[in-house]
Amino acid sequence: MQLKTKKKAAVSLNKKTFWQRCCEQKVLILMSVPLVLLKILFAYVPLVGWSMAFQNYKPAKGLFDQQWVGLDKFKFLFSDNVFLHDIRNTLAMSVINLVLGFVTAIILAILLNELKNMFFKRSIQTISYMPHFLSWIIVVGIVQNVLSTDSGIVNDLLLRFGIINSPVNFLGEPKYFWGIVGAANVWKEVGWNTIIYLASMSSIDPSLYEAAAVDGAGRFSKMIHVTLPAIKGTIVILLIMNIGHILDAGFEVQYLLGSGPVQDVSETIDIFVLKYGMQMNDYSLGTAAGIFKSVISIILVFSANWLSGKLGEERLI
Amino acid sequence: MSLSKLKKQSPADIAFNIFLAIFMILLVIITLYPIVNTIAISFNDGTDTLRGGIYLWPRVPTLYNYETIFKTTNLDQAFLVSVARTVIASVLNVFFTSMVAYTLTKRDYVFGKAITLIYVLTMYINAGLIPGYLLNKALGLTNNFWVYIIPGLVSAFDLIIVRTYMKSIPGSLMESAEIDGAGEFTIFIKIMLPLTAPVLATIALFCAVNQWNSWFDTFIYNGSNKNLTTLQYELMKALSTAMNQSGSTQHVANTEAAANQVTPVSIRAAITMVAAVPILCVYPFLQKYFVQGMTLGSVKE
Amino acid sequence: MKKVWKQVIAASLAAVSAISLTACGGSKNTADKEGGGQKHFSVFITATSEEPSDNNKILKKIEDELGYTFDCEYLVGNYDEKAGVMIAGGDYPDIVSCSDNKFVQAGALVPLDDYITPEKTPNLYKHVEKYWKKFSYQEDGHLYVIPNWGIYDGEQTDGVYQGAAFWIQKAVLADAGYPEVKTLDQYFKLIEDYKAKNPTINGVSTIGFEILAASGFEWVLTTAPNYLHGNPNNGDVEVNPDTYEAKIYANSDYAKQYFKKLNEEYAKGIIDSEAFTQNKDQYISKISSGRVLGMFDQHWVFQTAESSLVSQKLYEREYVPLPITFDESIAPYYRDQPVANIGQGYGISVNCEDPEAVVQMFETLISEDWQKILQWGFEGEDYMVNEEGRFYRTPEQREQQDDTIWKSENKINALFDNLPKIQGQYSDGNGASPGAQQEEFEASLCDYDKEFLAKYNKKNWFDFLNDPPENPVYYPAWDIDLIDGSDAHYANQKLTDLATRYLPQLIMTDAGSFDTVWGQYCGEIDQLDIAAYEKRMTDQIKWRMENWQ
Repeated sequence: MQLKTKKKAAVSLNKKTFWQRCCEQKVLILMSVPLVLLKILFAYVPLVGWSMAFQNYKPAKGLFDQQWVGLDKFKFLFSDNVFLHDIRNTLAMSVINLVLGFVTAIILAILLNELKNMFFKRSIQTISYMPHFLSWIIVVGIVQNVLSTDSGIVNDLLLRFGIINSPVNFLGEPKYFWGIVGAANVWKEVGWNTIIYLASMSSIDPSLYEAAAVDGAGRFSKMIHVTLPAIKGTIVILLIMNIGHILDAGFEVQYLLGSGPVQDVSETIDIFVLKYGMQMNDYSLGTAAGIFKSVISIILVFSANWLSGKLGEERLI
Repeated sequence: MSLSKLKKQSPADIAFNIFLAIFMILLVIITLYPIVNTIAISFNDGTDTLRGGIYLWPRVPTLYNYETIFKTTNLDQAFLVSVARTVIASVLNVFFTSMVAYTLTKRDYVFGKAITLIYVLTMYINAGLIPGYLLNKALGLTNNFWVYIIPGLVSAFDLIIVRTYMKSIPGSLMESAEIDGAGEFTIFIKIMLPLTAPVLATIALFCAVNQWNSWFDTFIYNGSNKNLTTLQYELMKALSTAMNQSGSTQHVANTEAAANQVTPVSIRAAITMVAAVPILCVYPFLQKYFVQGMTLGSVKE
Repeated sequence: MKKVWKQVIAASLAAVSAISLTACGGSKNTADKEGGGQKHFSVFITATSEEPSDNNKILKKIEDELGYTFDCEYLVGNYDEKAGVMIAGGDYPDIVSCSDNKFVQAGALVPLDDYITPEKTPNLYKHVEKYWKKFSYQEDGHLYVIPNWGIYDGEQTDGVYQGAAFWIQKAVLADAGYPEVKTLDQYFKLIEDYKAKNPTINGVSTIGFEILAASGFEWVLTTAPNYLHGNPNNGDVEVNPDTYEAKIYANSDYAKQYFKKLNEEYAKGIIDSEAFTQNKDQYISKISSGRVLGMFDQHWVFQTAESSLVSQKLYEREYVPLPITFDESIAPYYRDQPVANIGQGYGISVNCEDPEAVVQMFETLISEDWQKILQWGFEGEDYMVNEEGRFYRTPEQREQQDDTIWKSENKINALFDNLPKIQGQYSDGNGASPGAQQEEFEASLCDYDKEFLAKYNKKNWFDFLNDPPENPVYYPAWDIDLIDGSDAHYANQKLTDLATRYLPQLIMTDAGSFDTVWGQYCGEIDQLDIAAYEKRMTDQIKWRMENWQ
């Protein structure tokens, strides 16, 4: 009912001229446009700096007194096999993190929602999000101790149960690396990631659960048919936003956990830029890689957004 | 609530509750371990920690790591600055973000699409450090407290989250208010803000944690002004000092006894605790806004 | 809800006003121009020594007697990032810490040639005179940066060696009857025998040989063959002493020989199987537990681990440096004559209003009287003087030097680190710092060490190494600036990447496939533009030979 009237109103509004609508909506404009201008100033104006990607930028000179090198920086990136390899690693780790991160956070949020004792619920939630406040270097230190071949708890347990005969050097085996990074990410962030879902669950009308109970739904079916649909909008929106970050697998955890034997699978785009850009004072290379990432991100976000719209789900834009 | 409690529990329910309990206990153990470990290391003698093998309890207990942090850094002023930036930024961000988000929930808003696009793109573009620095310098934001607040005002991520939440709220109340002749701003303040308390608490938390933890902006913009440095920056300074303790050729190895030294591992553990404890206290206060049905309850009022 | 917001807003307003008040109060005391030039200096400090506290006694003395005060900004994050924005914005303090040519290249510094003269600054002039050419910026021949470390007056008398060596636990030598160890084979033989006899130490399994290969420390693994072959520390190249041609040795026969040896030892279980995946913390923790018998490294990397061993009173688990070579015909060249760091130290920025005043401050602080205060402390408080005029410290005075909090109140290491300084001896014969005073070194030895040194009939740990020959004129080649982003720089970085990837494989592979892996490694090296790297190194070495004589 309400929706219908709204649509009608929208149709009639479309007939008005742009200026008429602006006049009508001056309050809305006042509420948003000044802040948008501020955003443009701080996020878009510095993009002039993207010209650095086409220069041999030296900070001592002004942005327009530089030596122009055309597409050299991009050519450098894409002619390097290691960089192409790093794109693969970045994508792989991002996808693993994305999937694991989403699934675990949603499951945990739903389970937390099932706890009826407020005190337990809040305590567990608070405890589970604490690792978010540890820096990667601390978390990596613990991961290394846990997986160590001498007296690491994982090897200890596996040996004790006779699953393996000699300790496995998990961190030296390329095949385990992505999994370890994914698991470490979940461990550190799962509690933190549930917060947003718990917030969106607060808008669920409790009578929906009662109605479902009357229909004979069990706990599990309530979770699937009441809780999950209620947070679906948030899930979809977060998913679309995160797909855009698929080339940002970061560098800290990979840098700290990586080593010679796993270098082929551990190095990400950001590590490459750090090594061949930052550490060589080549600011232009970092900018070029940044532009590449932005372009890919924007393409991905728009595709995901379009797809989501096609499927009748929430849209970002 | 009370009704469902009175109901008899089916065997499936009991099984589920047991599963839930075990799962939660495991979760607590797994996530609490790194914290306890960090606390234990922070209270353990630095040189002893080097040997490894500290798990749940310090082996050579000491307060020296904390003492070092408190005595060698300028923490009280920095704490004040950190609190100020966290509070101010959170308040302004929550208010402005929800205000913009509110305008985006209006389907017929002329600039709605454009504004969404402008914000969304900012998540995926980054001009880089130097252009950003030059802009802030041109605007007089170097050596200035407001560099912590203004450039990051209204994050795109928060905006989208709030907008999505607002859209899920039934429009009935707002419409009746409109009929009552209330202006958009009044509706936003009087009706929308209270209705979106849970999500506002969420973004307040995101913003607060982000502000509290950041040290890089201090390092780049305000490092030269003692009065503007933040807690995390001072703690990072203590850490980088500990990193290089023994590298200096000045150091005379005293082979008889070596005590009262800090090491990077022990200092890192202690600064983590000093930094985390205040901000960890914020969450339980915000949790009260996450109560289910609160939103709808206020609608019915 | 409303109430909460009101409270929050009130609180934040209060906080802002508090901050703006203190901020205003703080920004008043900029350049004080009274009485003989600038007295207040802003300094950018990259040294990561402890920051002097507000009540620091040396800073107070400097202020009381000389009138100098400092406003320091410390490097907390990445140097390249900070330097980048400083240069882009032209925002320099009066005094800038330099650790490479970045600031000079950007035109950020004032040439000091006219400020440092025999008339105006006799002490400082005398200090840098000998090295003037070396320290001048290659492109224009001016001196911009006053060197921080490595200019010695008199003999180098520090008792503790900080450089590279094959280190071995004292217990291993003691157990074998204090033998002379000269070759790599002898070294590993000792370790193998000891490990066979002592499979565990303090209840944990013994590690024969430990390797650090974590990121940033790749050189620990890659530079060892160079020393074994009798070459001095020239980084990644071997320099021909007659033609001064530089050549990489990563793919040389002697590098192969070293890794082949490691491969054999790995197969015997002597080398830690986790060596290549551990980070530096784990490496340090293993050494601190006393179970590691030996490693190749530079001392400063693992020195903290030795402190830990001392605090556990595991004196026999500490290490002795050995100048090992492949065979006895090769003369070791581990220990070198001290070299001064090029391009490292304080420079004076173009923003400084009165460079003359800064140079005068350096001049005053490098006088012997002030150097004694900066390096030893206050007489009677931090050190004593005996009847012969020798400086010494009581055990309490010695011990407090390790205390971080004490240091922040009583030393100004962060500021001192980049200052020009006296090393070696003062004119009265006392060591420049406690570390350079032989008596101090002896007093710091425990009974175990005294006995150990006596068995070898040596005075200190330096004596275990070779006598340092006169350095070649160009030396050291490792500090040659490769020019950021050049082909030479790129090739060098790639070379390191290949080493981190291939060397672990090479060492851990079974003996049969060693040659195959070695072949792959050399094949990949051949594809790099090594010629560009070697050319840059050779050119620079030759340039130095011409200009540094």
